[in-house]
Amino acid sequence: MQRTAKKILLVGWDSADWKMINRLIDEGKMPTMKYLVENGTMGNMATLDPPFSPMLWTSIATGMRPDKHGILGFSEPDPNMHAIRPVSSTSRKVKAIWNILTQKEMKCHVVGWWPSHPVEPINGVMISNHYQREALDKNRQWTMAPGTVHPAELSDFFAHFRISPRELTVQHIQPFVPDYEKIDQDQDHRLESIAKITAECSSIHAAATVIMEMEEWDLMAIYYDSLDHYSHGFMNYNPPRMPNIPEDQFELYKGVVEAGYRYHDMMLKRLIEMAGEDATVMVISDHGFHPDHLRPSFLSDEPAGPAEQHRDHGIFVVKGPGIRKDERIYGACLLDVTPTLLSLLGLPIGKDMDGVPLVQIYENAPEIETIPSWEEVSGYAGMLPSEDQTDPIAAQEALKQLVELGYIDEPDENIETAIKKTVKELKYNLGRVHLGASHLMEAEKIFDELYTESPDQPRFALRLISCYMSLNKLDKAEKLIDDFYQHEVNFVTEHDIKIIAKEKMPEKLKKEGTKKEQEQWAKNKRRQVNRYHQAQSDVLLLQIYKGDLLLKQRNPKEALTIYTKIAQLSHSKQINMKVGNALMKLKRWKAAKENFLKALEYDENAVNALIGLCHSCTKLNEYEAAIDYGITAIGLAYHTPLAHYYLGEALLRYGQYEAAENAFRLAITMAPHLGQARNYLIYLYDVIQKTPEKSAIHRSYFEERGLKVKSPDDEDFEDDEDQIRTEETVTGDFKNNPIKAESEPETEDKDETPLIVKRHKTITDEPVIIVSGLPRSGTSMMMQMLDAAGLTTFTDNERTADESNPKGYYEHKAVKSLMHDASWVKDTPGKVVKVISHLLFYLPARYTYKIIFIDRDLKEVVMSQHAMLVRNGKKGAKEDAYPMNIETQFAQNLKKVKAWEKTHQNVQVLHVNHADVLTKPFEVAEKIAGFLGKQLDILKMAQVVDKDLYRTKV
Amino acid sequence: MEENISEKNQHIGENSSICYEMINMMYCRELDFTDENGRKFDVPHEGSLGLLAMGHIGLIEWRKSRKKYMQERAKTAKEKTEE
Repeated sequence: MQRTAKKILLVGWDSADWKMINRLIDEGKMPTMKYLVENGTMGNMATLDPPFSPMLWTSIATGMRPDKHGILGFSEPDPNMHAIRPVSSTSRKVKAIWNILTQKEMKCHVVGWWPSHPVEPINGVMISNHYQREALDKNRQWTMAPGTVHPAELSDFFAHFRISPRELTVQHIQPFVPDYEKIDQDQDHRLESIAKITAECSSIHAAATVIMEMEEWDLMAIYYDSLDHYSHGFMNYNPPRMPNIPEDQFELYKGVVEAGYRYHDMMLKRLIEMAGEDATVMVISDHGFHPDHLRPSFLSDEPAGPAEQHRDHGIFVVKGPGIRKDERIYGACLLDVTPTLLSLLGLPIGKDMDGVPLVQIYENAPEIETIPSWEEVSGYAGMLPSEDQTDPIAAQEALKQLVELGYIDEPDENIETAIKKTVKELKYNLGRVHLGASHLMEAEKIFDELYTESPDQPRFALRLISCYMSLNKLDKAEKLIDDFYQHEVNFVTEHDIKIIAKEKMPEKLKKEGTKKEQEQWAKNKRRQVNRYHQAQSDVLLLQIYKGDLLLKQRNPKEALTIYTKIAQLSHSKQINMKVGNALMKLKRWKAAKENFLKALEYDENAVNALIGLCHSCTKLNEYEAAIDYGITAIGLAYHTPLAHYYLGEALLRYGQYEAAENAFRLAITMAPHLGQARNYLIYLYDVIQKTPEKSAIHRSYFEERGLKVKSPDDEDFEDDEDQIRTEETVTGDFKNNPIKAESEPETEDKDETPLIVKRHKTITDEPVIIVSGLPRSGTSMMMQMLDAAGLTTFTDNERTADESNPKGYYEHKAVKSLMHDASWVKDTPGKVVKVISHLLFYLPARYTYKIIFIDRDLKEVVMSQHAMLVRNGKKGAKEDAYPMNIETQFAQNLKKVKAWEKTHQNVQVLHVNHADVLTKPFEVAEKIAGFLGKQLDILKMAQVVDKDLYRTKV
Repeated sequence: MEENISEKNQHIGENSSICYEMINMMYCRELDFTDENGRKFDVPHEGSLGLLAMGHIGLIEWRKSRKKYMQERAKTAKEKTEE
């Protein structure tokens, strides 16, 4: 297998989120990330459930799900069952990337990975995740615990590069909290917390740079947990201010998270410099972190509740030799990291890995080889025997940190109780892992046991209900929903939140209690308040479940009634989606679409809303929009079979047969039980492509199960879709779950056009060439240049030349109505079309576009437009006025265009500076020819440029 | 900084004294720090995030600068006391 990467620098930033990073890149505050994004390939990286970092980083390092790799939580009992310890490397059951590289005699260094304590004897240096935590012994000395450094002989050397929080000064803290002097540090300890986080990540960074200076490497893997810690501590103070955050506190701490990101960018710069130009650099995160209106207002009353602040998508960006530049990939999952690293290093992928190599990142994708499993490859891999012990002091310090962050509860003083609790958590997490991997039977068994043991814990009951619903055990689901609904209603009725909230600390405890006792009291009170909110939220959730149950029982009308009632009480994307789903079942496509759009307004990344929109737009014959929504959904969550299925449906109805076939095949690969996708494929092969031999395999799928093949034109096709799309059919047990009587569907928007009529022109690979920019940014001049170059322009010459544009506008009337009608775009592949920046977002997704975007000084644009309005005698346009509000709006539009560019894989953009066109026309013309990949008449292009028309200058 | 000290320390894992030798050697290096415009600057004894972001070399230079500052301060204080 061909090796693409000479050496790989892998940087892990726990919790890093594109929403934060994109904003900071746009504001010029993360120049290193900007450099990586512009010179490499980036994308979202889907996380796993539960989004707990030790599990996730081990999945990243192994390419396997937690049920295989064995890391299931933050803490675990030690092997002798004498104590609770932070989860350790010895619990990992499979080889990590560093073991595989050791086996292949490649040099590999690992710093701070979670969990990597105790260190493993790999072919390189390993610094464990306990290295940076200041754990003082009885002599108040920060000793280096055994198992922190490999080779152990280097422990004293690396100990020197640790930084204590006490060593930091005001200079280090001020960038995070400029008004630190206003803080009473006796009462408010948050500055200490910032110092601790900063010292810890600086220690990791210093250890990493030492290794990079001293050693050669094939893989250098460094993990920083600090963004997660800054975010858990201070994201609630990030702008915009949350309603429950007092103004003064907001003002003090609003810049902490931003400063944390900027500091990481600075550290990354240093790593990239040290790695050198020939290194492949990959920066990843295990999940995101809500920075905006989606921040939860309260956290569940359960261990690891803070993980609810995590977002489903982390970051992925890679840059290096052979990697595509300024590109975006879709559908990456953290399970894909190790397979991708192996492919970069020319090594085969284990077939037992759950991830796949991200071949889309390559300029020329290598041929991927596989082996059954790396576990079966014998030889020295630098793994530890499982009986290895952890240092108790370091372990306790790390445990303390997890307690402080809210990831785990303080271990019970009674060790037996503590172990029991911890084992329960691990079991719960394993259940969630099974649920996430659709191992429903295994998940049900676990949640059933947990619920039986602790029937008062909402999380167990709620997960068990999910299992029952997915397994189509509707009677059991109904009973549990009813029972638990009553349980939570009783809780809300029996408790008065006003009394709980007003309750003050007893005077005796206030005066005589220890600090620990007082903190415990405050903690219990917080828990009571959270439990109350949790119960309120559960009551709503259980009602939603009742609606879901009714949908499954083929009673969408009643389901809709329930959802609508809840929607009146609580606005959320979830309830809008539920309403949308019920409306879809009632075939009320327009109303369904409106509800999905509402959900999207709330969260632009709501994948299920996008999927619902894809389906409802298809039913409304709005195929272009449907394809757009489908592609966007897949971009966010590639491994969602239903998204591929609905996209396939939209593509098929639009006449994009090849693309539709691919979409259906992908849906089946991910979910073989999606029989409806097989029905579509059979239809496609038999009726459209006339290749019945291809459909045989799908026909036999139905025959084996005693099921009938259906045509999409059959009247009852949709009914089967309802059944087949549900997860219970994973078991293939259709016969035991007969469909109940159908309720009368409302036919408000019923528009069932026979499939075959909806054939359109097949998609072309030829891109549409777009000239864009703000009005008066020089787009007409660019059109002229491309016209002179010999390209065909899409114009109707209706708007003739005038004083403002003496050489003509090169416009077409149809373009102005792009927002409502994009049908004309089918006539433009290969031609040049002028589209102002405000309309770019409405270009249909099924075509590819090469966009030449003119960047002109905003003030010049505004003044030039204003001068034109004055020339045309427009009302209100005064010669000496400057419309400031217009400038602001234009700046926002340009920002939106930039974001749009990044998220659309069918779009390539060349930004051309207006001043450069005027001063260096030859150079610009050559650049454009290169971008378009066409032989153009450069001389004629350059001759068109008339500097005299550059009248408005700043 | 460009000096490859790993070549000089092939047996770095042998014992602790070699560790201290290596640390010592790193402290003895004279490094110039420059700003974005290539201008040299003195490392502030209070430190900065920029220095920490440089990794171990930034840390070492900051600790050296701090030590020097503390020594000078102690010396001045001693002189004042003697006066």
